Amino acid sequence: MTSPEGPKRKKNRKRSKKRTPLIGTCTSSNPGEIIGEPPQRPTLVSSEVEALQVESPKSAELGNCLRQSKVTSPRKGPSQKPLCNTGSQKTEPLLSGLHVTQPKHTEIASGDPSKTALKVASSNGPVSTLFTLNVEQTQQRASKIKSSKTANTESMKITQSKIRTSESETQPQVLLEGKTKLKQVNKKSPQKTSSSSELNVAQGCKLPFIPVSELLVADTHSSSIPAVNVENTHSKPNVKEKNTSSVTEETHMPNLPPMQFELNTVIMSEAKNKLDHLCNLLDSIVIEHSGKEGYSTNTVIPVLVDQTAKGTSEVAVIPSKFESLPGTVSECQGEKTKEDIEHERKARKEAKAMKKKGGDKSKSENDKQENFNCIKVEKKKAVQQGKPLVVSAVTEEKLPRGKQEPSGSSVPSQGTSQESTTAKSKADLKRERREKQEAQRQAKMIAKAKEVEKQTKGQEQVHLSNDKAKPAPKKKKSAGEGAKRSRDRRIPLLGHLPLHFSQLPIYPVNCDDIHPAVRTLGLKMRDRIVDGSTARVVSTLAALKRFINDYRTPESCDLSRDLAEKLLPNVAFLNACRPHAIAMDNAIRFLKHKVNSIEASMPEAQAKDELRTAIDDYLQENINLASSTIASHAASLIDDGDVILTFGYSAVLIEVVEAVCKGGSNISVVVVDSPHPSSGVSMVKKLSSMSVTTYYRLITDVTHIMHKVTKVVVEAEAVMMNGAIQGICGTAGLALAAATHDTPFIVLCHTYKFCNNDLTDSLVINELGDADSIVSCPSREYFGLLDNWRETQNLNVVSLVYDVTPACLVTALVTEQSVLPTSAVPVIIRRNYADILGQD
Amino acid sequence: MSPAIAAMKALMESLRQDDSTTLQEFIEKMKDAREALSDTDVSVVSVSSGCELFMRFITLKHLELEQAADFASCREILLRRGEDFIKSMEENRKKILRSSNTLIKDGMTILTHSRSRNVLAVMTEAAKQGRQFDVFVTESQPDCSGCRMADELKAAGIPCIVILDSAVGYVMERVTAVMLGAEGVCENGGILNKIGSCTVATLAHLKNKPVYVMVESYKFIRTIPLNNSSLPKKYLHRASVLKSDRDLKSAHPLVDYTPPQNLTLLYTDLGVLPTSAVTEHLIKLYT
Repeated sequence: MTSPEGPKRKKNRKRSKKRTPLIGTCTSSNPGEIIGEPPQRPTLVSSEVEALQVESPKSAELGNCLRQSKVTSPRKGPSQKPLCNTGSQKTEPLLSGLHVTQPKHTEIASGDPSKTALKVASSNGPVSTLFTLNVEQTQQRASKIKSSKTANTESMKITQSKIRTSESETQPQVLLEGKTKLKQVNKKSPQKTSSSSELNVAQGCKLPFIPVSELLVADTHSSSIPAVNVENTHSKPNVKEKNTSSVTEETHMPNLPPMQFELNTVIMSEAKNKLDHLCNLLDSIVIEHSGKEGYSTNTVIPVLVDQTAKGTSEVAVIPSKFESLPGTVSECQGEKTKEDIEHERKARKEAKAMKKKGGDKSKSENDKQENFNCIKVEKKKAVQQGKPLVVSAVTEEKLPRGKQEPSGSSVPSQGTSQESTTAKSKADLKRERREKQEAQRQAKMIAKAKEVEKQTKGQEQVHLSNDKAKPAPKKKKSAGEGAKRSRDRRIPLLGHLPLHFSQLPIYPVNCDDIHPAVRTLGLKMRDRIVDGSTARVVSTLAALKRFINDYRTPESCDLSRDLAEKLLPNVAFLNACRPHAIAMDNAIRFLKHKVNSIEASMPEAQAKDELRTAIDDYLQENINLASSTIASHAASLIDDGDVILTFGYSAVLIEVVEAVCKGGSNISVVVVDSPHPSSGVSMVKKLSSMSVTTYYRLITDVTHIMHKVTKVVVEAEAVMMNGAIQGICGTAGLALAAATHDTPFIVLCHTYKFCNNDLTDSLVINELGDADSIVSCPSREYFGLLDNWRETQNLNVVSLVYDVTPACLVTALVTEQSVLPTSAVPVIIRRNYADILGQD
Repeated sequence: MSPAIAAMKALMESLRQDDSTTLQEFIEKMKDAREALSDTDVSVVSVSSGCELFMRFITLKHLELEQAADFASCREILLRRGEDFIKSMEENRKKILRSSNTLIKDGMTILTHSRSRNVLAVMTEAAKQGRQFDVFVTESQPDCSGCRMADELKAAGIPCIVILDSAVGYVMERVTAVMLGAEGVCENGGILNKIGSCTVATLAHLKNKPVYVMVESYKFIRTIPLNNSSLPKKYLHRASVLKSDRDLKSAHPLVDYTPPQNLTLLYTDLGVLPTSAVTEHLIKLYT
């Protein structure tokens, strides 16, 4: 028996080596595998593996059938072993040894059979139901194998060596299938088996369609190993105490938060679809809430860390394996986020199917059903979309189990439990819910203590992915939580800047300090619904005007003093929501000046009237009229046939282009845009509706087009005293590019945006943007790689909102007064704001 | 006499002979007169800017004019102001000389382009003070104004050499400073001057030689050319050329625009200014 083991191991090692270049993460599992291997390895396993290997090189689609039947028989022994030992802890070393030696094989073999076996054993239902269950199970198995097969076979395409590994990976599943069949379905008709094998064959045919890129599938397999392991040990005691439903719940604990969330959202949507599932919806909402807190406190997100930490306490051998698998785990995490949408879709379908079947089935059956449905969907889509679906199925099945580990048996996962509950009766539901809530409460208490030391970025990540999957209702919550977490991460050199989504000061709903209009506006600004300095100024003044409208002077005060005082919290609130733009500061300063200059003797109505007209005039003069004047000034600088390059969205520039077109000149406009946020899109839309030749580019390829551009026209957010321009981040780079090509760089700016400050760099006065938007990239290959950047100690992801263009790069500054050089800025400031400067 | 001063005097003359009965009518008539003046074959830049400044100055403080009993007394005010303005403008050169009297030192080699009365005055003044310096003068095609400049310098006893326009790069390394006049000073401090000035200034900038501009403040104009190609045609070509239906692409432009980055200091009647200070004075003058 030992003699086959030696070569076998070698082969394993070899395989791993071969894989390294392709999947770096996978290799990490191997050292642990070898080290952790106990000397006396279950011989049966090795032999069975041997058998597999013999077949694997041959393995073709046609061979699947044969292999299945062949493999099952030797496999039966070892797979049963853990099952037999369910109650005792002794199995663990055995199990672990098994895992260690061949992680990929054991993963499914140990996890699934045990689960199914447990279910079968514990289910007290009538025989008929059991039977149906089995049928379903087999079907599901078959499809599952298929899915994993597709994943694996795909890798075949890449290298021959690869083929071998992947094959070996599939085999355990095949084995498992056979085993389950033997165990549970052996009484059943032989057609089932044949059908499953047929499926395999069919799946083999599909292979060519699958894209090569999804090698990660293999990783997800290996990553889930530890989870499965633990699950096994855990579920054993539970079986005794609880009924089948609880077991399934436990076993299906989502391993990773994204998954968990996903399930919640999925169920929400599902319930929405069906009116008769209203109670489920309610339930899900409750669970969702508690669940959120549950894992926010649990801090599951650094999955690897948590697992290792808790795994150690439970199973001694597991940690080594965990350590060997860091790469895979993280990779698998990334994979998951990618497939959120697919999960949702799947789950919806599954919910439908569930509904059809009715709620009287046992929990385990439901569980199976879910999987089955998942795979069904997969099957359909696999051909068109390729791997991700397959992967998702695998991950979905396995990841939840891992969750068991961190949370322990006390905290049931919302997602899975919910799935099971959908099928349950109401009484059952209630009871369960109560249990769950109890458990969650406990978990919360425990986790709260932990929370202080562990603030996780992973959570944020979860939220992000969640936002993507389900936008509206959860967005705010997640944003809030994200803020909580991100607050702790200060970027060196930029620590003085208020963080993106920083916590709002808490005011009661009907508090006197903040006018509702201001409150609304503040939130809008925070969520970037109101964006751009001009829009913010206009809306700020409008909100403050409403505030003044509703203002009543108290008996003992005079208006100017009291109003100025009452204005402060409103302004502070706006600032807390999002740091003021310089233009906003100027506008608010103007308003304060107006308020202060109201004489005490003036009656309230008149004073308010004066203020309102002052605001209106300010808006009219400094924004409306000024914009059209700027447009006409700028249009005089633009000649026929010019190619204008602009950056992002600018309302004034649209006016300029309109004016130019009205003048009969024929120009074309290049809109360059930054990816975060891409405001240039709306610019392009407006321009193209004006039948102006428009090009849309990212700022990254501005150098390609700059030599064809005759003028660069941008709008400034603010102009500093030294003539420096504060613009949306990217403007300075654009100015440099323009200077390199000796292209005139024209800046449009209202004079009310002139600022009595000198800026030489963009660090002193700036605003932090959403750094997470930067790391979220649409590329599949790099998706989510940096999602947990906050955990990386020496990595700082910074997204600045503004940058500063030095005055020497600006050819002309177009204001409503005239076309000016940047050196005129101090003159204008001194003249325009002589009365206001000096006071704040 | 510079064309701008001449134009102002012409406006003064037309003001004296004016027979309009209201201020508004007078202003309209003066506008026509200014257009007529700009239509002549002179350097339009300084003439138009000088005339505009003249008009601004004499009609400044409308209130005072409106308080006048009738237009006759109003015209008295206008005439008096006009005389004052022209007198002060004629004083400008002296002010420039005063501000630049230490500019030229012994042993300097100065490159100048074309002919400028201000530069000539500054150099003559320095020679009078006994300073020893050499001058390179560009030939300055197409009108060979540089040769005229050289003659005048030689008459003042200043050693000077006429070089080809294309030899600017050749002599630049031997030059200690470049002195230019200007037809107009733009709001950003860049100058409009005889064609070729941009070449000289750019080369000087490249070799880190200081470029000094001698210019009167009435030549300040309220425009910012983005670059040379955005200069208005009326600046580039003589009125006669513009009126004839010649192809302007083949016509040689008369002026070019030197961006402020290539200039070091402006010596004006307002004092010695950096280029960035022009806008402040312009804003003061016009608003």
